[in-house]
Amino acid sequence: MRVLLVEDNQTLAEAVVERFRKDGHVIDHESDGNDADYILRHKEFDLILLDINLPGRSGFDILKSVRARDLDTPVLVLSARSEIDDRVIGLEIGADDYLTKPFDFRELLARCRVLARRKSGLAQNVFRAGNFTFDWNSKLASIDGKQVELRNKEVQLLELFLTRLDRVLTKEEIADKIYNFDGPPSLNAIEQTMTRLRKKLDGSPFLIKTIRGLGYIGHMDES
Amino acid sequence: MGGVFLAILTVFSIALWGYAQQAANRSYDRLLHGAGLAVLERVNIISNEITVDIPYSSFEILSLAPDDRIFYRIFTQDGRTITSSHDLRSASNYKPSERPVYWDDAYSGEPVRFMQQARLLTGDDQSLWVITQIGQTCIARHEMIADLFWRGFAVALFITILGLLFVWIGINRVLHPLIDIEKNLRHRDISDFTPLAISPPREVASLIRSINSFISRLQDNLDHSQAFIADVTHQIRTALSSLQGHLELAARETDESQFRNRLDRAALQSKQTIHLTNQLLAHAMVIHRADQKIKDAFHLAQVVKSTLETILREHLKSDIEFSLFIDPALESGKPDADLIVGDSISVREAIRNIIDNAIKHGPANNQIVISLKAKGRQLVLTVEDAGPGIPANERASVLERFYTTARNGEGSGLGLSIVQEVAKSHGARLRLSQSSLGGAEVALHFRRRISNV
Repeated sequence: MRVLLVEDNQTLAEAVVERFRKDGHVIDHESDGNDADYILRHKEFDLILLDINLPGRSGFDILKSVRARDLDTPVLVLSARSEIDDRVIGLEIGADDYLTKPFDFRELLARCRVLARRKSGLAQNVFRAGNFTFDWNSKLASIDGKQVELRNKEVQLLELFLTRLDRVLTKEEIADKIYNFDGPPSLNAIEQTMTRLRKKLDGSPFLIKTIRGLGYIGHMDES
Repeated sequence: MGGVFLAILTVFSIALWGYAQQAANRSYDRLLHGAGLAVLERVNIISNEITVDIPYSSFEILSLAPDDRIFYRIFTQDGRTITSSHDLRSASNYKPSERPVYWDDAYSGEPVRFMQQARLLTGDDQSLWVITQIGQTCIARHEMIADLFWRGFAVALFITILGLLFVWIGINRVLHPLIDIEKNLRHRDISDFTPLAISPPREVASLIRSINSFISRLQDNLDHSQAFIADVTHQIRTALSSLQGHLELAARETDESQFRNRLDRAALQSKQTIHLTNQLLAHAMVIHRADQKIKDAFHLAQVVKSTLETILREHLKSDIEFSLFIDPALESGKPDADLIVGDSISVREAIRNIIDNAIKHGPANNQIVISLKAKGRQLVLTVEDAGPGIPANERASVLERFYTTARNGEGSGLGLSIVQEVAKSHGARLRLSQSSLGGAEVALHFRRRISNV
């Protein structure tokens, strides 16, 4: 994974760079906003880690110019402010995720993996996480190389979760995306499919968490 | 104020002038009347011949005004002059009567006061009215008017000046304590909270009492802030020394496993320090935002959901069972059913702290139920858990800053005091009780912003 870290605090930057290199990633570091903007115009990255308060040019401005050039490189904002939570993500600013400083390095890496997979995992033919693989073309899932038998609806559900990892999916959203040919399903039917999928993928890092009254979250536990 | 006095003095002068004029006229008219009567007494009718024997003594009475000239004319009702000093003009529309009539006129270039009265004379075969008209110039009258007026005016002026003097003395007496207060407050050191001395008069005493009460509230507030800063200093320094201690021990450690052990403890301490710092900043933030009095309308259900989502992302691997219950009346009711007014960022912080508390104090397989219900004009947000709960005798204390039921040093003791601050700034009620799940139940009663329930 090629990562660009834009961070003006030298100590923090060194620690992040070392941690990412140890994990086998290629990481570049820029501490000035204008330099970062320049390098982003000439080099391609799989992921950008972006501080907001920067000398030269603010992180928000860099993000805006990246999105203005139609680059869909995932951006994770590293912010020292806690009040901006909601605005950062989504249309308003265009980041894909954020972490508030100080953060746990394991958490940072986990978030980065999720973001990188969202782009590359979907672009490649096979989704891989630990001992789990899923082939987008043949719709075949396997754990430890052993194929898992999945019904059509379970495959659709799995695909939905893999494209929306770590995000809450409400039952309505699931019903909307999966059962559009069979008419509106009962919430029980969704629950049953969910249970079967969970059971079949037991032993893989893939987890489905249920929050009654809210929905489901799909997560890859790779720690 | 001077203007008011001047106006009052003017009105008074006009009234006084009128009074003086009336008094002078009455006195001098009486003299004219007396002279007229004396003249008429000497008018006789003998065999249809009217004779007048003007007694000069009768005019003596008028010589009380020595500088004034006298004019007279005695005539019959058909206008025949019997005797006269000058050719005088009679009163207009005069009907002979024994009652005197008076009027002002000008004669030979001077203002003259005239009096005219009649007497019915009865002769052998007829009776007729004989009229006497006497005029007197007005020098004495005017002197008397002026005299009366100026005496009266002098008294009024004296009383006015005396009054003003008393007012001035009174105001000075009342204001003097105020000037003292002003001096006291201006030269006062900002750390001096001694109350002002209460001095008479009564009107000022109550003002001083109000200022003193303000000073004492200010002192309380400052004491609280200082206590808070002292607490914060203590907490952060302690946490940082502990971290430093673990790191120094680790640096000197030669044994590999002991080294790892020390480092792990340092990492744990660092994590706790980060949590403490975050909580302190959150506490400062909600107080600061409360001071800004942010009053935006927002959907509470949405804030609850998005806060829960954020928290869930940090607990994806845990065995905690979360559930959310939102009143169907809010979920599918009117679009403004879940509106409240305030600061969504502070409310999010409060919700986050309540749920974090439930997670932190509960077991690994905790059950956390978050519900939002409509109760008339209120929205009740409840977070229940299956943890150990808060003992009834500690429910008041946990709202205090830095008080925590966590014994392992993991709690910052700020979570519920943040919630409390947010509740206070939103006019919401915070209630702690026992949940049916076995643990704590924290409820926030918000006021709905709704036109008709």
